[in-house]
Amino acid sequence: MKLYLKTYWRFLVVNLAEFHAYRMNLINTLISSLTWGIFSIIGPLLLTSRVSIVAGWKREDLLILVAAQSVLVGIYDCIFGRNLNLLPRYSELGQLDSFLLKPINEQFFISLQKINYGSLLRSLIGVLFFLYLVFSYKTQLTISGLFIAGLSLLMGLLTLYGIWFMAMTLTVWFPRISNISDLLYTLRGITRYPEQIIREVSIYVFILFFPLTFVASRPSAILLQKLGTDQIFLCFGVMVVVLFLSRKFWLYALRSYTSASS
Amino acid sequence: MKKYWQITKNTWDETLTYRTSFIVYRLRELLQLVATYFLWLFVVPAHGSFLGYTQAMMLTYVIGSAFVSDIVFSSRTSAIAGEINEGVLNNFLVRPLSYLRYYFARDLGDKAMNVTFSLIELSLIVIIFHIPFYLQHNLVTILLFFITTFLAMVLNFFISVLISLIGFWSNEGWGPRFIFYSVIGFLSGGMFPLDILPRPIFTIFQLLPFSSLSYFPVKIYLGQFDGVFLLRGEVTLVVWIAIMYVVTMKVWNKGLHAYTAQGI
Repeated sequence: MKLYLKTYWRFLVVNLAEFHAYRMNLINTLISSLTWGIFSIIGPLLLTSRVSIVAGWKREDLLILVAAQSVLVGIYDCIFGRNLNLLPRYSELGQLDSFLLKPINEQFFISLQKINYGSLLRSLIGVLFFLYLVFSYKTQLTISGLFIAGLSLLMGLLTLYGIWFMAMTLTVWFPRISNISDLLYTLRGITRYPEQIIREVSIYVFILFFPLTFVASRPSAILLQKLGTDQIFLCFGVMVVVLFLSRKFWLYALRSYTSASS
Repeated sequence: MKKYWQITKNTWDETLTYRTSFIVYRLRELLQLVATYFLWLFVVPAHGSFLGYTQAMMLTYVIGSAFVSDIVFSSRTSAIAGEINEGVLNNFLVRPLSYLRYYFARDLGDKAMNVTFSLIELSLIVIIFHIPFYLQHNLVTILLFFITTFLAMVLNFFISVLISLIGFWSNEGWGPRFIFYSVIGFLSGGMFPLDILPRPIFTIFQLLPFSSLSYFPVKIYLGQFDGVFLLRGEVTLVVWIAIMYVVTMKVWNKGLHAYTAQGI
C-alpha cells in the first residue's frame, strides 16, 4: 500500500511540474475546461428555461443533477480521462510491455500515471453552480444527506471508471478503434439525464444503461431525497461488480496481447 | 484534379478497410441521435405542442439535423493536429499537392461513406419507431437544401482545419477539438431547433457561423422559410466562409513559420 501511495505522490508531483512547464498546453487546457464547464451549465439552463418539470424532476432538480455531473466529470477527467484514452496507443504500438514488466500493478500504473489538473476547473464550476442553486432555490439539504450523496457520487466515479476501462480494454484486440473514447464520451453525456427518462424509453434500453444511472442520477436523487439513503448500498454493490468485471476482463484481454518487436 | 479524385476514392477504400473503427463511429452517431430523439419524445407531448413544435415536427427536425450533421460534420481534418505534432506534415510539404486540398478531398470520401450509412440507419429508425417523417417534394426546395448543405460543409471544413492548426503551438489538440465540437453541436441546432430558445439568444445565435451548419439547412428542407430568412441565411453563410478562409490561411502560414518539422 505504501508503495502505491508513494508512487501516486510521484505522479502528482511530476504531472504538476509538466503542467507548469508547457505553458501553451496549460493555457489550452484551462480554456478548454473553462469553456466546457460553463457551456455544460449554460446548455441545460437554456433548455430548461421554458420547462417546469421533466420526468418528475423540477427545473432546479435537473440543474442540481447537471451540477453534480459536472463535478464528477471534472474529477474523472483529472484522474482517469487522459490515461484511459492512451490505452489504444499502448496496445497498437506494443507499449504495454513497459507496464507489464514493472514491479507494480499494471492497471494502477496505466489508469493513474497522467493527471490532468486543468479539468478540476470544471469541477470547481460545478461546485459553484451547485452552491448557487442551493442558495437561490433554498433547497433543503442535510449534512448527512450531503455526505451520503457525496459518497455515492464517489462510487459513481469508480463505476464510470470501471465501465470506461472495460470498453477501452477492447483495444487490446482491436487497437484501431481508438475512437471508442468518443463513443464513451457520448455515453457519459447520458448520465446528465434523470434515470426516469431512460426508464420510460424502454425497459431494454434501461437495462443496457442501468450502471450509468448510478454515476450521477442516483446520487443526485439521494441528495434531493427522491431516493432513500439506503440506496448507497446498491451504489456500492454496482460499483464492486463493475470494478470486478473490468479487472477480470482486463486480465483476460492481456492473454491475447501479442506485444510488438519483443 | 485527378490526383485529388484518387485521394477521395482512397479514403472511401480506407474506411472500408478499417471497418471496426467506422462501426464504432457510426454507433456513436446513432447513440447520440437516439438519446436526442427520446429526450424530445419525452419532453414534447404527443397531443399538443411545445414552444410551437408538435411532436412530429420536432422529431422530423431531430432526424433531419442528424442527416445534415452527417454530411457537414464528418471530417478527417481532426488528424491534422497529430500530423503536425508528429512531423508527418513534412511528407506533404515536399509533395506537389496542396495539404488543405488533400484534406478536402479526403473529407469528400469520408462524407460519401457516412451519408450512405446515415441514410440506411435513419431509414431504419423511421421505420422501426414509426416516425411521421416529412418528405419534401418541392424540387426547388430540395435544390436549395443541397446548395446550402454544401456551403455549410465548406464552412465547417475551414472551422475544423482552423481548430486542428492549434497543433502548431500545442500537442493538446484533441481536447479543445472535442469540446469545441460539443459546443458547436448545441449552437448549430444539432440537438433542437434554435428558435425554441428565448428571442434575444436566438437572434445572437443566428449571427454566429454555427447556426448555418445545421439549423439553417434543416429549416430549408422542412420548407419553413421565407425570402428574407433565406437571403439573410445564405449571405451569413457566404460571409462566414470568406472570413474563415482568410483566417485559416493566415493561421496556416503563421503556423508554418512556427513549425519545427519534428523528425528531420
